[in-house]
Amino acid sequence: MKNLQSFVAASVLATAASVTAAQAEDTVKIGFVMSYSGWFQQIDAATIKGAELAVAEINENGGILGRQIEILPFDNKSEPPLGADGALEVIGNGATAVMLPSDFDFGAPGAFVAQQNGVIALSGASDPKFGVTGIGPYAYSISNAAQSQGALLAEWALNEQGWDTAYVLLDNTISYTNSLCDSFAKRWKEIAPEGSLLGEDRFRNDDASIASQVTRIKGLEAQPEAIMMCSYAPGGPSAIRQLRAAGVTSPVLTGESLDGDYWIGIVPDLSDFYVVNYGSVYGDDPSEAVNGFFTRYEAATGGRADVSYALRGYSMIEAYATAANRAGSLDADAVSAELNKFDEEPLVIGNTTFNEDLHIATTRPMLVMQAQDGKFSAVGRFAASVGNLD
Amino acid sequence: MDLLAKSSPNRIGDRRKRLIPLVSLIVIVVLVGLAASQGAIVMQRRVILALIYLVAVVGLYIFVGNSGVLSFASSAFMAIGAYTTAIVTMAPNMKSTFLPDLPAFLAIQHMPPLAGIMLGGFMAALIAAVIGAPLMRLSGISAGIATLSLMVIVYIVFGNWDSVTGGQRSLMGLVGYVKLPQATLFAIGAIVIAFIYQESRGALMLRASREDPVAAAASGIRITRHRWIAFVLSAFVTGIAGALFAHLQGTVRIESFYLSLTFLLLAMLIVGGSQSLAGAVMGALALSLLGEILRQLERGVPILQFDLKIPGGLGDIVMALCLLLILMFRPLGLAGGRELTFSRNRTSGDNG
Repeated sequence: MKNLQSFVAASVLATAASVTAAQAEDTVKIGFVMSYSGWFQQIDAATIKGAELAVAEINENGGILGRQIEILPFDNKSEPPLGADGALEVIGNGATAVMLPSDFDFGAPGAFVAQQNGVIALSGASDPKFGVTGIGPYAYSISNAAQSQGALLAEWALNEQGWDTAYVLLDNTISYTNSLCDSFAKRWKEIAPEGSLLGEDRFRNDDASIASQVTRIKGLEAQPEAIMMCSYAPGGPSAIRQLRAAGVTSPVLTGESLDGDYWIGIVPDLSDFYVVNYGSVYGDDPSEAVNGFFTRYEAATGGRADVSYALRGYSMIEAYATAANRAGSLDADAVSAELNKFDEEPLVIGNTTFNEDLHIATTRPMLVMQAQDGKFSAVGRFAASVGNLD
Repeated sequence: MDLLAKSSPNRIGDRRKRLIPLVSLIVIVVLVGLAASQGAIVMQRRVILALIYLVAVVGLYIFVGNSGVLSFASSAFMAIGAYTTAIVTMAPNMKSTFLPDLPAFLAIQHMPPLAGIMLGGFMAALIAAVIGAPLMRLSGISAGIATLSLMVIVYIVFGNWDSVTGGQRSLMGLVGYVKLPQATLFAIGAIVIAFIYQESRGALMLRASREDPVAAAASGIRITRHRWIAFVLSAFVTGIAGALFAHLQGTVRIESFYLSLTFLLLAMLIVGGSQSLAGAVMGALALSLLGEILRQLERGVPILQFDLKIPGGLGDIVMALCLLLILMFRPLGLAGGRELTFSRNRTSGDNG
């Protein structure tokens, strides 16, 4: 009798356990350990919305491996250390992938936890360290490496625009801008005649005035035909304004950190400004997939996107879902193996290639946008010819 | 008083009584640690962080509480501790990724975390010893400003010393050595160090100088020297807190060690009461608890059938409001300058 009782009890327990297990496995859980508040929220917001759109669309089409995707949000409050707590929490709740903020310093603490727990970490960090060398084999960035963006701009300025001289103006406060300007200068020196890089100068994002840097440019024998400026808001727009106010009319080039038109009020009627990003939010992108994406994005969120970062959020989820479906499993090793096989995989952000050592795009084309008379428009897609990450 | 105690048959009992404040604080810390060990992993990390803040606040108290001179240098010493342990404990292959230009004798170091943490404390103490020599001659507001500039200098130097600290970039790959037992033990260690020091003759003289510097100097107390001792000891404990912080996060980033951390630690000390060790411990635990409650409320907590949720960012305002209320209505802090005792006539400490 006692045996029977315990048998019944055990089987009831076992059934209960299997029911909860089945419920827990009902959804594929992806943690969004992102900056939902604080100053970094400005940068993450579009990425989150893009990823949410991807989740909604993939769920409509049957989800991952026939299971619906569930988002587990966690706000890191723009404090990088909280990202580690967030990653632990969402992984504890069953997340098989974690999306992290689009910056190495912000994303790394969480990615490190994900790596240690055997979970895929996804980010839009433009730093190749968000990958095998810096974090580990489970970390993937959907972005173009900052180094390749600098090289792309150098080649584009020289070969496409025919600008013969350049000047580098670096805001050295974050690692992205350092990598961007370093790689521009390096590539320029490789492909342009000696002496055509007229100078390199530095400022800090919180400098109230860059008058001395402007004076040095004005003092050059001939004005540079292009100024590569690596910065971000608010210091970057302020520096452009000071350049233009002082009468420096050379074209200004920059990377994705000055994407978007939210700051253009600072520099009225800005002209001859060129920025590389992932796609045009104005409906004039050469890629129909991108235009279609932003139309759907507008319908889903009720407003035009400010920046192109939504493409990154969308493509991260797209990449993960594609790889998991191919692997037939959510196991990090299996998914990672499929991601490493991506060879010109057509994602909305562009054809993406990963391999065992490189978990970031280097030679994928990016869109060059221009601002003329205060209006942005697409110029065209271009790619760096080399993927040098030094 | 001393003579009386010696002639009294309760001499041993009195001596035991002197230990009551220490024992009760240790019991509180152990209880916090034990309670947290039952919690979920994220909750445990919050408690570990609170215990690390406790170590830092106790370190701050050793100087501020005994000398009465305000110090803003906590985050500087924490940064020194954190970067020291990072540089000596990171695996060489991680160092070659994050610190490719590190001098060779540092690049080959691969110490166990405990050694790195202790070295972090010693390095902070060493720098405090050098800088403290001229600094401790200042008093009042100028000493406070001098420690503030020390914090800024460390922030700028570490933020630009690319070859050794990696500049603005994060360092990664530190061993996650600090778990709940380690954090609890280090918290107890900090409390014991602070207690032994404050019971010492030198600390008593330093507290006399806090109450009346002129009278203390006239009584032959060498104020500068005793301030310097407290400053160095304080830097050692605070440096250890920084190293623990690094081994909890697994990453080090100079942005973590700046104004917001300094003010958080000072707020903890002021809310708890800067004139007693119990105040430092209570302040660290109370503000950590309040911060965690507010964080949960910002995310939304289901209470009965309601979903209680406060707007994001309100937490900081509530925190500031608490500080203001304490300053207005209880200027000596929660502990009111007293240690924890259970006797009716509270004469423990010198403020009783």
